[in-house]
Amino acid sequence: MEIEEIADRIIATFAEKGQTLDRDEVIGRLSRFIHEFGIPPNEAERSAMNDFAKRFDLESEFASISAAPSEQAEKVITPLASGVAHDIIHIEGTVMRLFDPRSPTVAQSGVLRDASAEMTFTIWADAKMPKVEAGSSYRFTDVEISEFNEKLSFKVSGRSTITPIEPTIPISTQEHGEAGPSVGDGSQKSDISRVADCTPEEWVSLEGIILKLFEPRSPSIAQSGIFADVSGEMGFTIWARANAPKVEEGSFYRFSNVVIDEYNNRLSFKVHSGSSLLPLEGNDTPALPRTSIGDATSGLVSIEGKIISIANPQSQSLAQVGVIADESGGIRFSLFQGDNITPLEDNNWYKIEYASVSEYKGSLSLRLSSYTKITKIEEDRALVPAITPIHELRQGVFSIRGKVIQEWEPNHERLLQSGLLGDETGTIRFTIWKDDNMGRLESDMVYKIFYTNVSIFNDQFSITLNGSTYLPEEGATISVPSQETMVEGVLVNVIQGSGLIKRCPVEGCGKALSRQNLCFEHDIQSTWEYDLRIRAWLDDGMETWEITLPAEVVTKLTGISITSAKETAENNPLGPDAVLYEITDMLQGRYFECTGMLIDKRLFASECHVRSYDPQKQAELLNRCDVNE
Amino acid sequence: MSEAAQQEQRTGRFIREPAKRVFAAEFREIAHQFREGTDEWSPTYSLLPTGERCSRVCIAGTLTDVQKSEGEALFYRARVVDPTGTFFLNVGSYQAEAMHQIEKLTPPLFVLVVGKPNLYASPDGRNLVSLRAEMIASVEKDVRDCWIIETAQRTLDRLDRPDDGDKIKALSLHPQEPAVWRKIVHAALNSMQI
Repeated sequence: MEIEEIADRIIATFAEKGQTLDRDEVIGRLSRFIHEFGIPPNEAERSAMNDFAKRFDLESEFASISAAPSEQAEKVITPLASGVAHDIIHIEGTVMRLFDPRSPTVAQSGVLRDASAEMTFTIWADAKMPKVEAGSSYRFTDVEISEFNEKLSFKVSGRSTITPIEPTIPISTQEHGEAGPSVGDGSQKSDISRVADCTPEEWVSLEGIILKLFEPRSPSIAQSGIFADVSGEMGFTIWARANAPKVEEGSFYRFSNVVIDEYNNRLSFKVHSGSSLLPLEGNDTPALPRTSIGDATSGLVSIEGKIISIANPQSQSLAQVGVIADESGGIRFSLFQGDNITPLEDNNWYKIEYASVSEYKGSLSLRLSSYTKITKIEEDRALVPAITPIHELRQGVFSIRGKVIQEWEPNHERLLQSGLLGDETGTIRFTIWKDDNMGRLESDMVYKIFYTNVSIFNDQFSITLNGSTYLPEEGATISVPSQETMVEGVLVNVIQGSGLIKRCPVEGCGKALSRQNLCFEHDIQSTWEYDLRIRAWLDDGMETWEITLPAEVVTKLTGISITSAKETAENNPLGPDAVLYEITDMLQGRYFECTGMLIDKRLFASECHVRSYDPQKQAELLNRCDVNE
Repeated sequence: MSEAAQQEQRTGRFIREPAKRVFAAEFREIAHQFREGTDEWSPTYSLLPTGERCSRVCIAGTLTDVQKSEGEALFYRARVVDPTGTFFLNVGSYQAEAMHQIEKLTPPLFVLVVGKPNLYASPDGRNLVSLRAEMIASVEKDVRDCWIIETAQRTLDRLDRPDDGDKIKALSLHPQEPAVWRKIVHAALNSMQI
């Protein structure tokens, strides 16, 4: 019997140290590990040895059986120049050359360079590493430096790793085209393409405006910056060898025979010696038809709209920001310092031509620049805001009509209210920060919210009402569809505000009181209603949900009722914490299936069951493994 | 205060990173950790050899050993064994909740543990992976069995997923045939037929 052999081995080891062990005890302990817990025999032996060592104070004699290796420093990258023979180091560099392997035991060899030096390297065939490529940069870990003929090199073995990294050494920029002073006269007006339709390596001609110029980062570049036409914007580079005339920010040009290039999934165009460029002025500037604000996409636009709001710019480089809208929708606009534009006036209509729309962090905004033509429209036009159904919302400025269907307990001192608004098509979270002008929304009331900024927070759309106009619609109703959902997973963490809690006794409030009996709305209370609830994270390995279990569900799962919890809290020195610890020990680390209203990753459970072992699933998965026994 | 609660206070609304299910045989092979974003709170991810990033894992098995270490700072080391191998746990004073929990446990027991992988190099250059426990619960055998089934499913899901950036990266670091992982999953499922 294996167990008896192990037992005898343990007894013999301790006998050498002058200690006697009871054979039945050793066997009993081993068989409990192996049979009851299904532990492999070697691990059972190790664990038993360790326990007996503790008993006789011999732990130091058995250093090799320590529970876990101790933590060491993180991997440090060593410069090649400081490599010493026989060191095992981690390095980063660019493969400059590869040699033909001189033996079947060598997979690859070559020269690696970092900022400090160059070194030859050998990747053993046994190491079974992915191939490295000349010109690419890699991180090599656990490579050994060796010395031969007074030259150092490093060897990549099976315990090393090779990881591709971003280039560590700039590789010289390549230039298109040939040297030559020929700058086209731009007279051959070929077909003009649109930025949005360009594809990599295509030769095109484009007409539009220079939005921005950058400092050239290399002597081979004359100018680079951002260009826009009606359909969008694109980076551009004018090679020094193109000998092209200088372009200016805010001016219109026709670029002929430029090449579209792709880098990091972004397109740009290169102006080389075969290209030509021509300034466009007056009647030559491309005509822009009026765009509805709701349909605007990146690029140059002309619009007509009303200034809805003006806000204080948060950045010193901005002169003015605000929202402009027409009947199709709204958009944020900005004016930059230094563009010398007369600030726009609130509530006025303007015709704005040659402004650029660009996308920043997923949201469109309109930039008015020195080249933008701004005309005030004197007549006062009516503006009926376009209401967008909630499920069609994107990032940007929108008007919404929705009902307050949920309010959440504030978890930040500056927060006045947060919750959910819903319409027939969906729900969106709203937030109101404390501010003298702001009041709370009423539960179940329908509100119209005009030109509010929709942003993304934690992968969910959300709106902040501060700065927006909103009106209640007395007597209006919206039916927000709801459905019960089931989520399942391990209850991994019980969070604050769980256990036996006190609720505010003020009619219609019922908010949880803080430890100091403070109600968020009604100040300190001297009486309260007790309640039992659990807030926790449920985790299925792919997603997490914040679940709330009300008293009935907690009682069903734990057998603890509000009454028994009150008794425990009164009779235990830990007070209500005793209840929380008891419940946490029962629930944490267990599998549950919870059903309830799921909104925005929060589930208010109406039912909750313990999940148990499923032999059928086990059989299905055994088949799925596709292993022949 | 738990980490989740602290983060909740900081950001208003916080979505917890899920804890990936992983067997010991795969966990101990983790060889790459990385961060995305330069933000103070951006998580450190570990790349699972079957090709998925994780900042947290959920494991279960038998707690076979707990050792208290009283040096400059009090911490515990422990071992948890699943059907495929051994997890090495570290519980330090930064994980007050887990420390409080492990103090009460006497092996052998079935436990479920949630924590963060920690990768470091031993003096001889090998990679060592331990688990910094955030939550340890003493659980029933049924929970351990549920975990084996769920972890088998999640591991197969990872293997059967189409290749993406994380998976291609994992394949370059772990050239094992996928069949190796399938055999491990199969053996883990079979271990329950006793």
